[in-house]
Amino acid sequence: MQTNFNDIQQLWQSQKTDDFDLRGLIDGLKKTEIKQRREKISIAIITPATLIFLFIFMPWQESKAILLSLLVIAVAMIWVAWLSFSSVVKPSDDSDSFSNREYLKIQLEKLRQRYTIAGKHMYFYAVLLAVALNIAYFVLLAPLSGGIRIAIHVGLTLMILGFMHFSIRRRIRKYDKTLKPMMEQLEKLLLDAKN
Amino acid sequence: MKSTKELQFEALYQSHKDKVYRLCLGFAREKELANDLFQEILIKIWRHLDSFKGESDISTWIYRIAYNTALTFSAREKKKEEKKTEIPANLDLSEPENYNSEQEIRIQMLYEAINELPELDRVIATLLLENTAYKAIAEISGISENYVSVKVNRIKAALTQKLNPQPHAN
Repeated sequence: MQTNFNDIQQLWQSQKTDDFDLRGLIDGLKKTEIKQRREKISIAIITPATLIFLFIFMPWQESKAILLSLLVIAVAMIWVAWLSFSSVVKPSDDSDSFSNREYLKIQLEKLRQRYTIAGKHMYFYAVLLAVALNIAYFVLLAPLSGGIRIAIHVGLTLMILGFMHFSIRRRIRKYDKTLKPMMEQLEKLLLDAKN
Repeated sequence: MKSTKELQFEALYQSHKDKVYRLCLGFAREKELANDLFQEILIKIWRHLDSFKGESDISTWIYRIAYNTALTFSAREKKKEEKKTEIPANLDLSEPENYNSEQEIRIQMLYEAINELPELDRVIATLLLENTAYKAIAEISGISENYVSVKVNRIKAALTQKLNPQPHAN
């Protein structure tokens, strides 16, 4: 017996969903929303609290260098917080106003942005931190001998840059395994959508 | 007491659950994965329900979320398994009333045929199987209505041929 397209449609539409625990899902989502709200509030409090703590306990009034160091740290922290915030908050899932193609474009852009943050911006952040801490140490270590000071500055700089470099490499390797194939697939889909 | 959002979400769930679930079966190789995708879509609908502006029909909005999520899901799953996408022989599909083994085989063939299509064609195929208008298909998939009609002919032919394995079947 021939199966025409109407038969196929009927066959397709005969499939029904299983029993799904919708109540459980809604309860879980509500709990997650509360948790996420708490986390956002924590981040919003921790960044300024750290800066306030540093400004209270560091002798920035006594030295312009320490003040400069604190300002660099503040700028770096706010910049990184803003970067993280902007990469997450993008309305990439606002499917009400985006067509499929636009959605794919935004998803791709979002994934590329993650690579840029890890590969470029985090190095700049590491350099800023190293500069800021070296300025502060330059003042704080003044009573010590020249040789010890140089050793501490070099050690501190290498430690910060080394730690950040290995963390970034590890993250990029992870991205290569997870994000890259996904980006290639999305690029393929986008190309299909354009053709 | 349930909030307005919960009531609205439950109503949308009741009116769209089967269509969305069928879409999931069209994109996932296993039932477990289809359930994961189904849940992911429901979560997105819940999260974005407050931002629904009413600029489009609520069904179109839901399908956009569903299809966009399915495409991303599909890309993610491909990365996990680079194997050829296929429906396993023991796929336990949901069972409607008066279900029989012949119908099971035909449904399996249909899912195999859908799975063999490229992702965007799969989107169009599943919408078409839900009797969605070409205009809505174009709106959801982001391609022109004319191009939809070209693709529809190819998809119809591919699916019909798959379910009628004889040569030159219609």
